[in-house]
Amino acid sequence: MSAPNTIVGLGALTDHIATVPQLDAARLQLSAEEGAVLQLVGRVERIDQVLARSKLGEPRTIAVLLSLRAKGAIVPARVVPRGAPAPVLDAALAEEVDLEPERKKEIIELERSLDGLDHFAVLGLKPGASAAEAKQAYYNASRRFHPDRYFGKNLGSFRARMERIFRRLTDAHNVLVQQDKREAYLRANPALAAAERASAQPPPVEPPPMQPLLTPEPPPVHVASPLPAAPMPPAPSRVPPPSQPLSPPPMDDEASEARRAERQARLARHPYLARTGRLAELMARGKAAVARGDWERAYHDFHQVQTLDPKNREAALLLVKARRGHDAQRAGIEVERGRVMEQEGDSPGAQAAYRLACSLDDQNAEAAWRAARLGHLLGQDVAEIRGLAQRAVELDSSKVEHHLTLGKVLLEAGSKKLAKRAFEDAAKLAPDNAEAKAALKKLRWTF
Amino acid sequence: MAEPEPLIGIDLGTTNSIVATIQDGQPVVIKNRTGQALTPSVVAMAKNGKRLVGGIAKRQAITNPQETVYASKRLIGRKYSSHEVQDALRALPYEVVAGQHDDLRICMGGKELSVPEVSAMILQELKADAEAHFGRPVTKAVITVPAYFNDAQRQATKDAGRIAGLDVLRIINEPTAAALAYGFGRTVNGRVAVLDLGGGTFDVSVLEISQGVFDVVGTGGDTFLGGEDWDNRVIEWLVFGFAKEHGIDLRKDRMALQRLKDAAEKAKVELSSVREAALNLPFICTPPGGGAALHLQATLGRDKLDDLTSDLAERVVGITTEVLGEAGVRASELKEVILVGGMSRMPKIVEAVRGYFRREPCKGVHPDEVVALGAAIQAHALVQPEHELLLLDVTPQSLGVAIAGGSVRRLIPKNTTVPTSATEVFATSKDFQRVVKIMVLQGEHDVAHQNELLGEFVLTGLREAPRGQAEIDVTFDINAEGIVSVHAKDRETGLRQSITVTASSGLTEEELLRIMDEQREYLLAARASDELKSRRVELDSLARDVVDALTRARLLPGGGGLAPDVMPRAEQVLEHARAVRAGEDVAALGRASELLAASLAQLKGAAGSGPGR
Repeated sequence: MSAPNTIVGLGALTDHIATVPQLDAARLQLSAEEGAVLQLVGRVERIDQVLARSKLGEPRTIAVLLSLRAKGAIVPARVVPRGAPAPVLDAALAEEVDLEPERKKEIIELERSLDGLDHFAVLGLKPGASAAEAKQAYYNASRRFHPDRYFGKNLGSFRARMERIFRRLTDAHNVLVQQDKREAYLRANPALAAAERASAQPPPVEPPPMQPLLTPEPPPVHVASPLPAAPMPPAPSRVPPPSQPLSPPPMDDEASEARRAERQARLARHPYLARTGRLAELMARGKAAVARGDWERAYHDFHQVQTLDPKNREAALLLVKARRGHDAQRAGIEVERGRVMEQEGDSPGAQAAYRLACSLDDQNAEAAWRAARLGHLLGQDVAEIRGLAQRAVELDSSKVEHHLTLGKVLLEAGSKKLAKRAFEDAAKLAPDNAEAKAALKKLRWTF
Repeated sequence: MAEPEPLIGIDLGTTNSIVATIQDGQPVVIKNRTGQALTPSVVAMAKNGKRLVGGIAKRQAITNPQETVYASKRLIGRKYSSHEVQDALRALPYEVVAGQHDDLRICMGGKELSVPEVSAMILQELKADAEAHFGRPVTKAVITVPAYFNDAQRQATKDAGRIAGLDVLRIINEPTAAALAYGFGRTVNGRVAVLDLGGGTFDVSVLEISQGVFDVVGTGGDTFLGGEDWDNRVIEWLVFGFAKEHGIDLRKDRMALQRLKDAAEKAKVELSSVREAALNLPFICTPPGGGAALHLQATLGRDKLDDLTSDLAERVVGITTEVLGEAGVRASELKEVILVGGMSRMPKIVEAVRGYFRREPCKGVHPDEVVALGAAIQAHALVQPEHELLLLDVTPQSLGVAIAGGSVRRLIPKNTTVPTSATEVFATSKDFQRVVKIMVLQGEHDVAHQNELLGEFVLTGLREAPRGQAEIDVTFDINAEGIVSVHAKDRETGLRQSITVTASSGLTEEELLRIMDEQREYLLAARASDELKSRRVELDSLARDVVDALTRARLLPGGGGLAPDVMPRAEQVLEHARAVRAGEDVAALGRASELLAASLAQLKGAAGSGPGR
């Protein structure tokens, strides 16, 4: 009779049984048969193997096994197939070091795949990446894998792993950055050269799967990014919308916003970093504001850049531009306010507003003209008004009113000839202007 | 809230040392206890047996030339038989002998000290200055070394730090530190060249700075080219002139030599701002045949100085050209040229640099302080790694092993970013060979014996096997400080191979521990003697007061209303104090002071209650 397919209490024929460790044979009082079968089991053995090898015959062996089980000498066991990589990974992950679990996993995976990766992949680049990109990628990667970043921390075996990774990164960087070595390498690996040629087109869509390991953290300058593939947030949305390589920056979704905010908070804590990070950010914001026409914002940003980095010529120029723009804007606002006040009847207030507008923006013809006119009406200091009126005419000599005002002011000032000339200009522009004609008539006899 | 531990950066220079730290996010220099930012790197044993460090030591150098040690950085980590040391010894007034393994030993105060010990004395002084500044014990420091220092010199500097009781976080290169301080608080993105011409060494480094990553592209230099050489030229000129006039070689007289040295240094510094400097050394020596003392008077013009030292300046430019060439960087590609070090103030050097780079060197850094500031920045960057500051430094010299035939096999070429490593397989050449000896060298020469021998590594206990079959994997590691370590592994079994290091200069671990013990004892003794002195002073002042009070009490009619035993007891106490004062027992001195104070109170109390004055 062959053994039943499943022995109750022990398991199926293909299952294993194991001897309990630390077996006290004397206490268990095993009989000779039991001892013999126990020997067959050894540490772990399959049941059908035991049955096959036993000299007692199958039914008897089964009985003996059951009695051993009753005595607690053997137990059913499940042998888990263990491949070599798993224990190492678990052991390494379980190691007590000052690293987060994702970092540990990242380091282990990268280290294991180091030999299989070519120089481009190890840096997280596509095969066609240029030397500058390789250098940038190397710097970003060394920020993560250089042992100095974990100075004084307990790293255990991870220190050696990271040093290995860093060494590989350095080798890759050295080869890719020096032209002769790069060419030699490409000649040695024709596959890479082919891939480089194939990818010499505008940026491809799908980043290679290795990239998440070494995707550099989004650098602070998100407007002008040196990498062809825009810095993308790893994990959640791996495939960016294919039609948007560079703009709008993918910084707009929430996860990256949160990350950026967290990064900014971290940056702001340290003075050195706060300066370098903020500078680029401020410049970008300022330029965006200029494009929008928000001069005030731009002015603030560039001014901050100026204080942080006095030598930045670009910032200085942009600052001047922003200031002018802002002043022009304010001048316009002041003119409006002045007009409103004039309508309400508040002439001095209006005049003040106009004067302010003039001082802010000396290219604003309307402000100058209005200031001159109102000043003339109010009877203010002629010399000043004259200057304003002349400015108005210079800036915009196509307006009749400007010339008229200039003429009036000049009359008041006493320069009749110049006044006449002004009225003549006015008349030329608008031949049927009553005022001009009247004034000219009065001044006919001025030479 | 626990305050963070104080961190300092130390620029241990050949002529001057500086210590700095970061305060409120800004690197600042810590002034020493006499109020100076620069501490001269001079150690002396005064005639009364006291150890002097710094400005005091420098000032008494003239009267005590043999016991005053300066420029010890020129000797640190070197071998006695090297030609640079032999050259230097001719000009040094203090005595230097050879120790074991061709080491150097300096004779000071009757003892033979190793060079790291002398440097440790300077470091101790700086440590005490820092502790006075913080008000707390200071242990963590970053020390700078010239970029071109080899492994032995770096290791010796680290040993010096250990002897001084500092926990040396890192040894960094001086030009890199200067670049760090330059880049701090500025956005720099681009290539920068740093030329550090100090008192004893010259370094050139080309760095690429990009968003907080300082990557050294190439470095080079000469560890025996510095301000001292300029001084020595002036001294030679003076000595030669004097010998021509009077026929006496002034170098034989140590005191005269010291005076000459001081005068030469002063003249050199003056000539950076004026065209002519007058050197006046009266009574420099007496002629051997008797007669009036001789005086030395000379005028040194700037042109003459340039003539004397033109080859030195050329060497500076030559090394710079080499380094830039190797790094593949053109002078026009550089964003900035930074001059560091006292000697960089010299007009000839500035002119040479300007001519070579065709641009004005950067004036935004303080040439003396910038290295220490950079070291302080790095100390903080290491301890608080949330900074995004990262230094990628390089090894300045190639590392290789000597192979049969006297040539060198280069394993790690120079200007390789550290940390790095290289593995080489060694096999036995004889059957059943038990021992393999590897000579590790550092340098660029192809001939083995011209390079610097870091050590002989002996692999012992090899497996017995026919020749060529026992293969050993030897890994040479250079860590981020540029210090070399060697590990060996048997290729077949994968077991670690034991290595014995022989013939390597430098202090062994036992020697280091012994020296550290001695230092500790010395510090304790110094502290005890300070206390003794202060107690004695206290005793003296109290005794004087008691004597005054006694005299007054005696003058008062009727003893001033004192109890009859007060005065005799006071006299007794005075006698006791006089006896104790001569001794060394601090506790007894304390007790005597207390007794004196008590009798003083009694005498005063009584006198006060008597008829008022």
